[in-house]
Amino acid sequence: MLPEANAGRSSLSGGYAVTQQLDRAAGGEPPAAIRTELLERRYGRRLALRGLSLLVPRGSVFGFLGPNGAGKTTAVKLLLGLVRATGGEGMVLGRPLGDPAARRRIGYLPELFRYQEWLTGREVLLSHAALAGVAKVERSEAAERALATVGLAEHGQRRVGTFSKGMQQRLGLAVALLGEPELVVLDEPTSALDPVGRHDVRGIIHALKDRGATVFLNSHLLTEVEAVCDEVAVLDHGQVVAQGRLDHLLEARGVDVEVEGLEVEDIERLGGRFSPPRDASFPQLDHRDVPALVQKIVAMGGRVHAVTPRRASLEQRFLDWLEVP
Amino acid sequence: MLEICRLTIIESLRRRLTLALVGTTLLLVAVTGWAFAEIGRVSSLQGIERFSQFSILLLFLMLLFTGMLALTAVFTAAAAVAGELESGVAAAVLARPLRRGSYLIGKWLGLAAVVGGFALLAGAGELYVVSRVAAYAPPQPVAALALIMAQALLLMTLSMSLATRLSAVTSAIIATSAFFLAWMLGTIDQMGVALRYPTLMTVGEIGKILLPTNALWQAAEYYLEPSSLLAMARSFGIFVQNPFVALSPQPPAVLVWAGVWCLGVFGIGMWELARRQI
Repeated sequence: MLPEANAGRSSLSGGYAVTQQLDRAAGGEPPAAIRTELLERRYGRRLALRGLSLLVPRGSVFGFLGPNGAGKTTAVKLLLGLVRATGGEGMVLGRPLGDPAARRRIGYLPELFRYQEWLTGREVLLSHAALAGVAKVERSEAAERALATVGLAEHGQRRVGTFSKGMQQRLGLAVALLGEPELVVLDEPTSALDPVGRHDVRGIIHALKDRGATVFLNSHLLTEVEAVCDEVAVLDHGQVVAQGRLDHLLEARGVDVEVEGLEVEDIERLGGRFSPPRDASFPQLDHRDVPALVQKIVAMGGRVHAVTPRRASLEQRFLDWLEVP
Repeated sequence: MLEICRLTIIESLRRRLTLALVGTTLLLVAVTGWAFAEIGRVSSLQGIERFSQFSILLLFLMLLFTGMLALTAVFTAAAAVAGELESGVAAAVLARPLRRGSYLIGKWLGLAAVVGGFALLAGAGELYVVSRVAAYAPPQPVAALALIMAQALLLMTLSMSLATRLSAVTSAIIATSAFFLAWMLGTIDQMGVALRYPTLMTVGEIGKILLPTNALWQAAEYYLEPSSLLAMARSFGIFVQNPFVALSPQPPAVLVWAGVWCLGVFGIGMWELARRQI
């Protein structure tokens, strides 16, 4: 089992790792946007979510991954208070799960995005602005801004019932962006979008991060997560199997070096393999030892053109975490 | 809460429910007016007998109207609540800083405006056209209309509460069945009173407690009956004990119980909605 996967499991066994993280957060780091400890949801005998412990830093783009049926949407609904937990505890924006004061500062795009088809797109936004507590004088402008952000500015006066599925998902995204929420929860936000729409969503997520909002992205599209997320948690069978910064989780041993002026034996003495004229590889090298390696190569008379640390793909890591052979 | 109420009313307008109800009202008023005009034209009765004839006809029509109203209330409420919960519309709405209780109260207010509006408009329209065409007016039309509307709102509340847990179709069918069952038990109660048979009376009383819709109809019915009709009915004794005649007003306790019942059922709906998964 991978070290990070082990860490993920250990946090479940006693909550120790998460407690440490929470302590760290309390000790001066920015407070968490979301933190849960051993959150559980049971349906009769079936345990849909078993001991979910999460720490989502404020201002981060947090990817929540997992195969179908892993419990992702249940977890999202727990965070929003749409489903009650049967065990454990959690806080969102410093308030207990489901607290209306916290929900005022949350934008949410549900996986099953359905809005009143007898309203126009603009009316849906005005209604949600009212429900979200946006001041009356600001609602119209907020609705127009949200429509423009998701590319529906010209369709605001159309009934939702006439929208395509992709347009409805864009509308859902606009609803989630209303009132400049501190936390935006997006449950499979690109499931109905074409490549252009997916590109637009990435842009919106980056813009949210730039203004300091936290984005909780529930998705099974790994390329999407890899492109925008700082941190991820991977859920499988209702429990977290890996969690941490994406760059750390994808870090791998091994470095490829483009070098000239050395012989095969020189590279082998350094622990690498050489494919003349320029390609040397050091599969066991830790990334932290790269400066020392470059120094040695230069001392041996080599000229280094490029150093490329090896990086695992999220897909490969994901399959490892799920223990898919 | 008021936003949900507003949305509920807009939905009834945009989905043409209001249009359908206005159309139904016009049709009801037209048919009632035509029926009274024709009967008045061909009937040879005069004086108090003619008066009684009109009062009996109006009672029948109002009874049928309450049935129509009950079905409207039940199906509208079930679709409005279960429809949003099942479709996923409610998930986006309830993720907002809105308490589920406020959501349900907002729905109730919006639906009450639609259903209550229909009850008052159509009921008043019928009474008005009868007064114009046949020069007949029941003794206490306002009280009767208020009770007929209360019956519709009570059924609407039952249907809404069921719809917080069950599907729209199931909720509507249960509420409709309960309405007719209450009517049957009310009839059994009347027969029990006429025959002075305690078991039947007890069953009827239990029916009133379980669902006081029929008690509300009987209360309304009493206010629609002129004293001449009541005197005639009483002179026939037990043979007039049927669902179409109320010989005495309902005691105030029945009306109070209907209010308490309504609040209790609505409370159960709120509790159910609060604990369910959205």
